[in-house]
Amino acid sequence: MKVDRRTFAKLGAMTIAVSAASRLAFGKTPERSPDRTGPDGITWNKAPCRFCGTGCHVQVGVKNGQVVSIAGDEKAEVNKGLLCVKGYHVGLALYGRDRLKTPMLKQGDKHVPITWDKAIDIIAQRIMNDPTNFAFYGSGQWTIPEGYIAQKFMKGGLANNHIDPNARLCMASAVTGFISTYGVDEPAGTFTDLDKANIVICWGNNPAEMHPVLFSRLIDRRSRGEKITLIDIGTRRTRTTDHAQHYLEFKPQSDLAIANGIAHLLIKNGTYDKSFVEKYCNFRGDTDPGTLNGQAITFDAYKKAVAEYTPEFVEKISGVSAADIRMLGDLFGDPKNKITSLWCMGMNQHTQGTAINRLVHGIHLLSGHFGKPGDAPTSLTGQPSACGTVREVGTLAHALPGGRVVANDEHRKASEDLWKLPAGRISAKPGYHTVLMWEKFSTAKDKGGDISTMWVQVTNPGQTLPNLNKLFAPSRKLKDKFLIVSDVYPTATTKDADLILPSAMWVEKNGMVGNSERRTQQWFKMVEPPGQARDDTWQTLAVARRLFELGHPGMKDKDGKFIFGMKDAKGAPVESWKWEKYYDVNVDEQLFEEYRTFTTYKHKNLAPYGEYVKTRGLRWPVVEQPDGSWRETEFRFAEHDDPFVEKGKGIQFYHSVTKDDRALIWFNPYVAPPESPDAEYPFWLCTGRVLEHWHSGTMTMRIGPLRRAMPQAYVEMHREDATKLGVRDGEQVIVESRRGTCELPVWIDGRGKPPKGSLFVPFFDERIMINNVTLDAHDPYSKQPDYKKCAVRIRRKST
Amino acid sequence: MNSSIDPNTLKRGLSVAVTVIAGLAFVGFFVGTQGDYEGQGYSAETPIINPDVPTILSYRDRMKNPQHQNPQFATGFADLAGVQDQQGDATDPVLREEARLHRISGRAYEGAPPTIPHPIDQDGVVACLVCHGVGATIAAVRAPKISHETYANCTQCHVERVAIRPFIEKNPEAIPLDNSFEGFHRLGNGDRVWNNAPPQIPHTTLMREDCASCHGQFGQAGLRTTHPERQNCSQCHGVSADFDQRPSFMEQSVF
Repeated sequence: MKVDRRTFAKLGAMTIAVSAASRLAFGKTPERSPDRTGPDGITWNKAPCRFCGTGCHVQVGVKNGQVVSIAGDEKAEVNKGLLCVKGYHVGLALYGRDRLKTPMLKQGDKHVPITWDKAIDIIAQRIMNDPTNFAFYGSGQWTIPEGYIAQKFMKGGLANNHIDPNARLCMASAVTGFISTYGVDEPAGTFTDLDKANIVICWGNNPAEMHPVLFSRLIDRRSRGEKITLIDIGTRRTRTTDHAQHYLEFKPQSDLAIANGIAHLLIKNGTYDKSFVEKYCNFRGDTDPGTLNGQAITFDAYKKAVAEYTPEFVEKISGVSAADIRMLGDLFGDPKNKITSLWCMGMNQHTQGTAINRLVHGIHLLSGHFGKPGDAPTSLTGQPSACGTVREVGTLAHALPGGRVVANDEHRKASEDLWKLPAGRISAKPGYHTVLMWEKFSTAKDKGGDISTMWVQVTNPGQTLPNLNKLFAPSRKLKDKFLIVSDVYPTATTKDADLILPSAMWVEKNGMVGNSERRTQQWFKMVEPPGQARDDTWQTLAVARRLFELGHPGMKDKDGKFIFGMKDAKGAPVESWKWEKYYDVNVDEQLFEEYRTFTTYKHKNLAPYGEYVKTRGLRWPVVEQPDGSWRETEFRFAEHDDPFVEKGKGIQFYHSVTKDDRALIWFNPYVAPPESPDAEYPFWLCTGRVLEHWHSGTMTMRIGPLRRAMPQAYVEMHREDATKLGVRDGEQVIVESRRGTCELPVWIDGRGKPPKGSLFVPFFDERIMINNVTLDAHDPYSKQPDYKKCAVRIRRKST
Repeated sequence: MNSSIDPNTLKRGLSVAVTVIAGLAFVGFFVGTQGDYEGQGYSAETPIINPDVPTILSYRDRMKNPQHQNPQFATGFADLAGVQDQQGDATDPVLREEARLHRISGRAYEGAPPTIPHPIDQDGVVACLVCHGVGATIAAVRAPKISHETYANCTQCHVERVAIRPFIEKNPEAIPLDNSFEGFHRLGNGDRVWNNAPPQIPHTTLMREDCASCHGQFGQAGLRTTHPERQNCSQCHGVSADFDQRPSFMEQSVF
């Protein structure tokens, strides 16, 4: 065919017309993002990675109903086509041959298969019999709809606030830090700051292994000729240290002193940002006894409080040289610098977690390194939806969706109205936080352990709770305690569970999550789950419906209708609680659209579901523009980007604790840790992750390339300590605390290098339960336990 | 000409010296990674440093003593899971099939980052680039050149194929490693419009910006180009839009 200009123009016009027509046909909310089928017969679609809180997007390749390939998503702003080794192998997580495929009930010592119908019945009956002593333990891996349905089921349905997530163990201190500083949760900055900062400070975290794609986003700038100063403030040498210009090794807990030392220098040298502080900040200190929001203090009182923290004094507490403290003070004191602070578990898993979070925000505010691109205090999360589900949907014992709390009358009323519930349905009393919930579950009823039935979804507390001998193990021996676990593989938690439910995971179901930078992401189901595995959302929905049928009053709204009624396109009701009808409509979309109405109250506005289908996520607040498009926000509270900041204000903390648009600069003193090494237990123990494995290793230990690269947990120790004890490299030893023991091999000069007197053990290995050893002491406000420091000793097996 | 050194000799001498230095750097790295890792399991005694093995020289010292040979050289490389260096290029179907199988052995699927077939330095990435920064073949061992230079955190994507640890994994059956994932591996050949037309690139070019990494002299024989002297690959070999992730016309027009 000869193509002249005229024919070409005609063809072009036709193509445009066809595509315009297809746009009409699809309607405004497309049912699916377009699958692309390549020449190999592989169909590609987008999904965020299943693992950490970075929120990389992957392209998932599916052929003959199986995931066969993964690619980094070039269109995703977070990762720009790059992934880490876990992300590249995320597709393999679906295909371990020991996937749970059928519901199983414990009878005697064995688990026997039962039907879904029976499983749902058992749960509904347990709840009917004792509704107030039922607890739901979820996770930051709950998708937004999964968390939302559990939240509404518990607080709106059962009028029971005993719902808490594993994220309590992970970022609760970040939440209390944000709330007590800005009056509202979640970071002001985003990952965009990593493209703009010239100084990045890692406070006790190791992003080279834990958030590798973000780390690359930062250090790859060096390959492009940019100069970035990376400062690693840590308690052991890691792969991050290898890329850092400065390694400041501090004694566990003394990060509090370091932050105060910086504040002291800013004030003493007069290098704090006077105009920023005068315009946008108030000062705050502790009350006695302490409260989350403390009390106002004057600038003079603040100055006096930090005056003590001279570089020499800080050196004495922290072991970081006075010169290095001065270096930090000078860097913060120079307004030309663009400083981003990153932190994760080091600051959060801390008995003074709220305090250290406040202090790091404080030095950014004091120095004015805030609200400009590259100047941001940014906390990272470890789970794909710790932010999206736990923090935003509020699946915490004290919270309601959209930044509300159960203790507030107006918040309860607003939630009841949005849920169309009768007034007074929601209980005003916060439920048990994680540590307390498990303590109550592991204590006999006659001794005050009132939690009788626990439903665990998407997490593995039998391995990840601290001090397992106290919080988990006893429950498995008590007769009247019933443990229900929804999971995808056998775990330390399913091992002795009373009822096991097989779940669908990742692209075996629809989902939405929210990453560390306020980015809400969406994906569609691409493959069928194995055997009888089913969505967690469906599981909760089915139990709710069974309770409705049994006549539980909480499962009805104020008009007597089922609280989770789904509708088809014509508005007719759909029996979504029947599995065969579950995917007749998009349950995720309907739950999300309902949830979305909660989000405007704290200016965490979300866009309609369809907008997330089109994009690789959007960072809230997402606000509709006059042209009908939806705009995301990179820099919160800053006039140049945040649509909710009034014109001319510059910076406006519009949810300020003090109701005057100002953030709070806190003073919190250095406080000694609850347990320190002594003559009997002479070592510090720190626990954490490694690059290859994600959390308890349930998925990654079943992925060949990851397992073979990191087959087993170990204890890192300093060579001199080993020599002193006569311990050889590779020798099996016993790590022992006042709470329990753990047997494992020593790896000297291995992946990380702890200083003398310090040990490190990764927690991914269910054969090596280091949480028998860790401490359950926790932060007074966030209730987050400290997995990073307790006192232990090492015993050779032969002695 | 009154100078006794001919500029060509000087040039040749220099290039020999440079090759020797690069080679020694390569060797030094693997000697460094050997040390404690003699086989699996820990030795009964605290490992002692073998006096026969020379300490690793600083670069300055190597310059002074370029003939310093390392007795561990041969044994070190025997441990590497490399293929024998072969002559030939991609026109040989036998070599091509061999190269394909070799690629599959190190990847979960086409496009997955290859695992590392040798011990690594646990805490650093500088060592990676000593060999992989430019690419090298020494004896039978190839070190392919990095195909995506701007990425600086090598161990983020590439992990050891087999972990070398001073201990052996205990009770591996407790967490079964039995995965039924079947990764897609492409058959290989690029399309040609007619018999002697240059083939299209049959794979995505994301992370594969440097063609020479696989198709150059340090690539496997079965992937090597017949015409390494031509440097501008994409002049003749087109990138197929089928493997391209950028928004297609349809996708953009629908949304």
